[in-house]
Amino acid sequence: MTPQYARAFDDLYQGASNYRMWGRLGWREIRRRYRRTFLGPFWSSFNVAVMVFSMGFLWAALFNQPVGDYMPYLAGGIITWTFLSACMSEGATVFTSSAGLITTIRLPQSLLIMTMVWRNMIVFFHNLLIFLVVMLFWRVPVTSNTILFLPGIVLIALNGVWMATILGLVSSRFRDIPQLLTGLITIAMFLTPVMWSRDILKGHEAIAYTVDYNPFFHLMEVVRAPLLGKAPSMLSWAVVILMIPLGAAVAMYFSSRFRQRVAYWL
Amino acid sequence: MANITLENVVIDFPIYGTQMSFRSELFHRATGGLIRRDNASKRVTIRALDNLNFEIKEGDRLALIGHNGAGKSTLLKLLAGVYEPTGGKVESRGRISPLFNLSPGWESEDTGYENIVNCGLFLGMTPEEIKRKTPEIAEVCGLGSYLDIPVRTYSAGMTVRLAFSIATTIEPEILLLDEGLSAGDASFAAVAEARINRLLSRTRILIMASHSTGLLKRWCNRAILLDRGRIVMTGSVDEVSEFYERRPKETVGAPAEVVAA
Repeated sequence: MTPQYARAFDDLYQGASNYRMWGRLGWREIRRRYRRTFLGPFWSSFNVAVMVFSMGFLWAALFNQPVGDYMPYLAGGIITWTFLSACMSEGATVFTSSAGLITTIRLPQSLLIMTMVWRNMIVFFHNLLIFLVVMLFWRVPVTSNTILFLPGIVLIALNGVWMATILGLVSSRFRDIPQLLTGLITIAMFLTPVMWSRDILKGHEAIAYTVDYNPFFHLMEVVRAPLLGKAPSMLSWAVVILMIPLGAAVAMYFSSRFRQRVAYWL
Repeated sequence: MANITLENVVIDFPIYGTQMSFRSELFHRATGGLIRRDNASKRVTIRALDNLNFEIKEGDRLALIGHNGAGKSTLLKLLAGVYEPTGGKVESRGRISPLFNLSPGWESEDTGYENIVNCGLFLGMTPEEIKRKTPEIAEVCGLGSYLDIPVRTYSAGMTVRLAFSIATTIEPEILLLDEGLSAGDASFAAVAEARINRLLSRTRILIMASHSTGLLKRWCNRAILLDRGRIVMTGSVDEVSEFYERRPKETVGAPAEVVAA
């Protein structure tokens, strides 16, 4: 193992193993963001809730779906997508937004990534309250599959870590990336079954078929399907799990090449 | 045993975000032709540290002397591990504590007690260590019940007191300081002096950059004179500072050598 890789692994180990620090920092940022507000962290949930309830009825009508089926699907999808997309968009600014710290103290870069992903996971669990309301109101059954959303969210988080590492490193050097990414994430949301389900593509088998090649679809499925009481397909589990070592390998390559350059770029 | 060794250390800063032609013209004028540009890579860099070789041993109290832009802060950041050298290597043993910013992680909406935790974590303390030291910090800063309210309500003096009290509880093996430690108002000066002396007494190696010769003479036992990223002289603080003060002033603020990498 070359010294560059050894140091990249060391950075990952130092940051990831310091769970007490990123655990605290994640919470602290949540507390700070909503200090002196009435709803606190539930403000983000409130905004998501407004979106779900205002669009849900309209889109259910547009897609010709029963509201009782569509609402839980949309709510589960939006809160999952919120987490996934935050890992990418905030991942791109994870180093630039901590420039002050990175250029004055030695800090494992992975610590900043872990803090960011953990913070968004906390937001996800706040948003889960919306799903709970939808669940109770439209009687979504709790099955033995429901609990699978927990490993699902951990798998998204692990994928989020490698995505954020790559995006964060590249964005420190090329400041166009975060701007570009904002647009791309929006497009990805429309192209991925978040607000629409694959079932409405009946008669368009070719398009429905392409959904299987969309990694975001599988990332969504491992959380959304359990929330709806269904088991994700084996394909989804396999894709999401396999993406972790593959993505991590690419992230390690980027980290070994560019990690030490970040302080110079900021 | 704490020690640091530098071997042929070079730091080149890349310059981004300006037009190439404008950039090269500017540096050409500013450096009087020191610019060397590699047309193949089209990258312009500033050499901040140029081929440094030295060793710092246990017990050393090293003063870094030099004009603005001589490379003092860059060298400190290199030793802190913020920058990895673009050439050569740095080897060190011992826990390195940089105190460039007394209060990293400071959050104005948080209370005094919360900020003790915020800063403590970023200064490298464990949660247990912070908990153990909180009474001591509270006593030194003397802010009493103010510690329960958000620090944004503090006066400037109170803010400095708290930050200083937190920062001086660290247990460094190698302490890095940029421009000493400011302790704020006069009434706090006596307490601060004692705190600094205690901090220094448990520090094995001190490396500090300052323009205050008096401070360097009081705290340091060795000195390095830097000019445009190179070591010009090493010796006792008296020798080096005397030489530095007698140098012609034309070099003040002269830019570092600009080269293309």
